[in-house]
Formats: sequence, C-alpha cells, structure tokens
Amino acid sequence: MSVRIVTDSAGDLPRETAEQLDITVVPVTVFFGEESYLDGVEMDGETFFQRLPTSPQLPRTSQPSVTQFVDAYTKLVDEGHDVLSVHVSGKLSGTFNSARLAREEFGKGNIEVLDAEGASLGVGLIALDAARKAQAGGSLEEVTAAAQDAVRSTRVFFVLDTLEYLVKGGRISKTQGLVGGLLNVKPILHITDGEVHPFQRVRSRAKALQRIRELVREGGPYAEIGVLYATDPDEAAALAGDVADLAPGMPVVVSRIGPGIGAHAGPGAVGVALRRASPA
Amino acid sequence: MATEQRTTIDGPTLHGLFKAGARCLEANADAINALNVFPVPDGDTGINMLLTMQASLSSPDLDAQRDVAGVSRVIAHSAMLGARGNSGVILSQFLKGFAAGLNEVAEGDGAAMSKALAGAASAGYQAVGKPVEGTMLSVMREAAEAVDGADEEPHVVLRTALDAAVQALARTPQQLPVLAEAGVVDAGGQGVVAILAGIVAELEGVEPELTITAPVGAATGTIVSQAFLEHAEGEEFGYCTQFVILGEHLDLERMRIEMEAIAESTVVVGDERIVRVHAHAEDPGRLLSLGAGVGILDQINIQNMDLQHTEFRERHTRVEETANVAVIAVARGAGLERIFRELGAAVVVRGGQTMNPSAAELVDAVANANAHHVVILPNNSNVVLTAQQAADLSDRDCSVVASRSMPQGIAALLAFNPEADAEANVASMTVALTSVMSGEVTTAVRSTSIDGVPVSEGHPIALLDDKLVCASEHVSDALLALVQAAEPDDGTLVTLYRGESRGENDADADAGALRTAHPGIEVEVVDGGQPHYHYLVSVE
Repeated sequence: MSVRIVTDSAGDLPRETAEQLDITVVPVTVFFGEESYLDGVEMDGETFFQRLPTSPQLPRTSQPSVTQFVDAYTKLVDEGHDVLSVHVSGKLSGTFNSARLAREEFGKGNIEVLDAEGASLGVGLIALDAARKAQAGGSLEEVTAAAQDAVRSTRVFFVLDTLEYLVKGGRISKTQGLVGGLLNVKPILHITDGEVHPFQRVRSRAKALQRIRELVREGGPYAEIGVLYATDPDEAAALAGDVADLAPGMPVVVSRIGPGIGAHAGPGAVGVALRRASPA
Repeated sequence: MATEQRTTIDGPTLHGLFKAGARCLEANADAINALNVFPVPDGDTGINMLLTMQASLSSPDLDAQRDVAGVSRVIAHSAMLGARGNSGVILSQFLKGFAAGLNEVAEGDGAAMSKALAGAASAGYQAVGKPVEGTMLSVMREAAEAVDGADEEPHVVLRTALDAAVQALARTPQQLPVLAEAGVVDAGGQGVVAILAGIVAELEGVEPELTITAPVGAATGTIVSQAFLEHAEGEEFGYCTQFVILGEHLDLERMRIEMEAIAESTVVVGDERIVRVHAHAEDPGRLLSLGAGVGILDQINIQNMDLQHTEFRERHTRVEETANVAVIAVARGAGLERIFRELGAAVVVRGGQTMNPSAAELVDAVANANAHHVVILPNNSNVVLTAQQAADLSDRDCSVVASRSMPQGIAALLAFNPEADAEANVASMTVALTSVMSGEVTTAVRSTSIDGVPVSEGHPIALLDDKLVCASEHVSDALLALVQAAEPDDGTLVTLYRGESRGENDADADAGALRTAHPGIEVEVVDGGQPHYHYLVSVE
C-alpha cells in the first residue's frame, strides 16, 4: 500500500514541487477584514504582499477546519493510500490539532499525524523528504520514522523587518528590545521546540543576512536547504546561491512564503530552513 | 581644637577628624579635578572623592557610636554605598580597611592608628585588579609603611603618615610617565593627602596647609566642571539645587556655614571669584537668595527630587513579572538612554562622563530591575569599579560586564538574550565587548601634551580606545582622523552618536565626508544627546 503525504499551506512548499511529489496541501484561510482567501489556492504570496501595505487592517489567519482534513484523508484513503500528515508546530497554530481531530473523526485507514515543530519550509522540507521516501516505496512506518528524525534535524533561522505582525498575531512572547528602530537593529529568530525564539540581534539588515550565511555555514553540511522570502526574490536567490554548496547534489528549495505565514512574518522576512542528514 | 595632645582617640573625636578630612578635601576638590591627565571633561576625581567622603559621614547612626570601631565601621559602610567613580570606590575600600584595623577597639592609640592605616592600604590594593604604583594606592601604602609598628601618640603617627604621603605624592610623576608629561601629580593621591592633611590639622589645632600645583596649561582660576552641577542624586526629598556664584572676594567659609544651616548634602567649593553650590533643600529660593546677595548667579539647575523619585517608582512598578535575567545600564544623554531602554535594559541609571553614579544608586537599580540575576553595564571606565562594588553590596545575584564605553555597552546589550541564562549571557556579552572600537571627539579642557602631541585648550581632540589620535582645529577633522586611525575595511559599520553640541545637519555632513573618505564603509548617525562629547563613535 503506497504512502501519500498531507501537509498544510504554512509549509510554504512551491506548488509545482508539491504536485510533482503528490503532496496534498491543505490550505490555511487568510482574512482581510471580512474577505477570506484560501492560502495558495485563492491567493498566492505575491498577491498577498502586494495587498498587505494598502490594507487598512492587519490580515488574520485561520487554521484549516477539521472538515478540510477529513476531505483530504477521505480522498487518499479511498484511493487506497496510507497517509502521513505533517504540520506546522502545534504551539504556533491549531492546524496540527485540526488534523488530529480529523483523523479521529474519520476513523478509517492508516493515518499518522506528525507535528513538524517548525514553520514555513521548516515543515515543507520534512514533507518533501517524506514524499520522496514514500515514492521510493517506503512503508508508512518507515516514512513516519524518517520524518520524526527529520523533525529533530531541521532548523529554521529568519530575519524580520518588523516584529509587528509576529507580536500582533501572538506568535512570540518576549520581544522587549528585539527590534531597535533607533539603531536599525534587526532580530534573527529561530524556531526551537516548536516556538519562535529570538536568536540574535544584529545592526542592519545587511549584517543580519551576513550572519544568517555564517550560521548556515557553521551548521553544515545538510541533506537539504530551503530559502524562504516574503518580498525580495533577488535577495533570496543570492542567499540560495551562497549556501548551495552546503547541500551537495540537492538544489536549494527557494520559496516565497504564502499568506498563512506571511500574515505573521510581514514584508521583508527572509530566512533559511536547514535539514541535516538524519542520523543513520 | 586639641591643644593638649591626647594619647588615645575616642569615637566622637575620630568622627570629628573625618569631618575635618572631608572639609579639607572639599576646599581642594576643584584643584584636584584639574589634575587629570587627559584634558577631557571626565576627570572629576576631586568631586568623586568628596561625594564619597560626604556619603561616608551621612549616616544618622554615626552620632550614637562611642568607640572608634563603631564610628569607622559606620563610616566605611556608608562610604561603600556612596562611592562614585574609581577614586571614590578605592577611597571607600581604604575606609573599609581602616575600620577593619580598628575592629573591637574602643579608644585608639598611636599603634591602633598605624594598624588602621595599614588596613586601609591593604584593602585598597585588594580592591584593584591590577594595582598601579604612582596612584592613590601607593600614596596610601607609603603613608602606612612610614608608621608601621609606630607606638607614638596618635597625632605624631598621623603627622608622620601625612609627611610620607606628601613625599609619595611628589614621586608619582616619576612613577607614571603620563603624569610627568601632563605636568601633574596623581589626582587620587592628592585626594588622600588632602584628607590626611585635614585630619592632622584638626589634631594639631591648626588650619590645614595644602599646596596643589596646577597642571601645565591649566586654565587660570577655577575650572568650572559640569560634574558638580549634574551629579546624580542619592537622596530623594526636596529640591536638588545647583548653581554657580560669580563675584569678588567671596567668603567661601561663611557661605558654606550659612547654606549648611538651611540645606542638606551641601557642597560649596571654589575660590573668592567663583563658587559652586550643590544642596538639597526644601526651599531652593533661600539658597538662591543667599547667593544673589553676594554675587551673580549662573548655571542654575533645580530639580524636584520627590518627582524624580515618583517617576522612577512609576516606571519600575510596571514591571510585574520577575525576569530571569535583566540588564541595567549606566547611560548619559537622552538619545543614548532611549537606545539602552529600547534594546531591553530594564533600568537605565543616568550617569557616565563627569557624573558617576554611586554604588548605592546601582544597588537600587539592581533591586528595581526585578530579576533573579542582574547584569550591570557600567559603560564608562570610571564606573566599572563602582559597578563591581555594587554587585558585591547587592543582596541580589549580580554580574558586571565591564563595558568601558557607551559603544561597548550597546554591543554587549545587543548580545543579551532574555531567554538565555545568566552565565550564557555574561559570556556572550563579554565577548561582544571586543567587537567594537570606541572613539570620542571632545573639546580639550586645558592645554597639554600627550604622547608628544600638543593639545590646545578649547580645541577638538579625538581619542580611540582611550588613546589620543588627534588634536585639531575642527570637530569634522578630528572625526575623520579618528575613523582613519581605526583603519576601517569595506563593510565596517561606523556609528556616530552625536552629542548635544553637534547639530543634525553638521553630523550628516560629517557622515558624508566619512563615506567619501572611506567608500565601502557604512556610516550611521544617531542622536545620542550626550553632553561634553561632540561624538561618541563605534567602529565595528
């Protein structure tokens, strides 16, 4: 019985990549006032960030409903697949919880639901790896075990232009002094134990990006690297080019973050997801 | 006054002797201030020692002490809390050692005085990481050594100690070449001599005689130091009133007596043409009237301490949750204070150049930071020892990350992570200190020569990591020379914290000139708002 991977749009996988590997992406919903859009289906990242500066109110996000997951699981199980469902950290979003409830609600088939304890490509890279292993014929047990290893060996670092979105969305607690407007201080954040934490503060965006390059280099080599960005594709491409040698044989996954993550990261966000080779 | 010499000194007499020492120090505080090597406006050794000495005598418990052990113990404890600046901290350690030497002594004879002086010298050396000969430490030590094992009457022992201190002071320029080049004796050593001279004169029933040689190129008359007008407050009632009286034939002693009658914490220093007054009074008007009656008032500064206290309390009662680790920073200038707060300092203690906070103020700030562990950033080389003393005195778990400049302090604070534990923070903040070079552009307060570079009073000078790099006609040129000396590479970030004397347009023009001279460096201009320093500069 073949295994299929389900993830959510907060994994920020490029659509074509997901399609190639038969990954089902369940969309988060993003709201501008009363108007709602399905992340990646009805609104992509580019449109979202064009709209963001002109929106009178900050966008909100809503986790996928239990029904959305039940629908996804129903389709795959009816097609005869086992399912590994990999999701954005349960400490950052209710998505993981929705997926678990959906599995119980549905009550059929072989479904594993896994908390990736990360966000954006930190989830996406784990889903990608799992999908490759599934395509290679791995059993649900094997694919799930590998994904659990991948959760432990994946890190995310990112720099934000502003903490406004992260704070308003309640995705970080201690922020005092993280951003210094007077000195143009930029925070480098990371996700550990499924939560967003300040990692380091750096003077100027250029220095922050430089520090991220150093951090990538210090932790290498990797099985796969992802570069995520909100508004500056050139900056992301340059970053990807500079770190590509640290994941030999694997092209860097470069992805614009979608509305679901974008609503919390804000414009100017850029970062890396790093998956080290799983321990044998 | 003691005309008939005693064989022992009791508690109240010792109290009186220290008061006399403080008075002599007060009368000479300005002259001692002028003895700093670098002609930058931060050499307030006289004021720092005086404020420490006055604090030592401020305890209400003092009058109740009958024996010398009790008097010296109370004095030492108050001094430790009131210590300001490196010289004040070392003085407080002398007093601590002096008290230790008199432990359990009711009335001290000459031998007891000898033992107390030995204790003072030894405690001073212990307090300083790398003791340097030719400073107040060696002056105190030589005074103590001169009476080692002496058993004459107290006034003989103390006179011998004073004479040895005077000789040791005279030798300080031979021991420290920087003093010789600047043409001065060590300021802290001079302070020790002044206190001893006051004590001995009191015992001998005469007026203290003290000649302080003005340094080469010192401004004629009294150097009007802002320190006095701006030093931080330890007490919190009434109005802190500070002003200068300009006149002819001013009667310093009479003014001091009159002002002491109507105010607390009075400091009245100067000469017959200029007198500076600092006092805490319920009615500042009466002090001003006294001054206006004898001369012209200038530089009047009155602050409501009740209000300051209330504001301070309000600002800090908002912190409800006890943090794991918090940082308190010493900063000066509205912009710099804002920056430290914005970067996450829980408490910013106003102070720094020419206005060194006392150990007690830092102990209070540590308590107000409301954290399990507090890291102190002194941000000034002359506050480092005070911070260490505060850390020792505080009942909280406390560390000092020895930032010696504002740029170092900012670099250290940037490395602070509220989620990491104290040990990790102290380690990463200490490493961050070395990530920046610190520069400053200020105005020479007197003419002198440093490392062979002639310096003219009133002209801009630039220092990089405490070394003079340039004396110039213009602030802009001094700044260029400063950055040049730092040998910036491509990508070097130069931050100019402009002082209150440097306007935004001038600063932008200076930044432009730096970018032209060094294409490839980043230059940022930040409003620091600090007094005295046209620029504080960080190069990283």
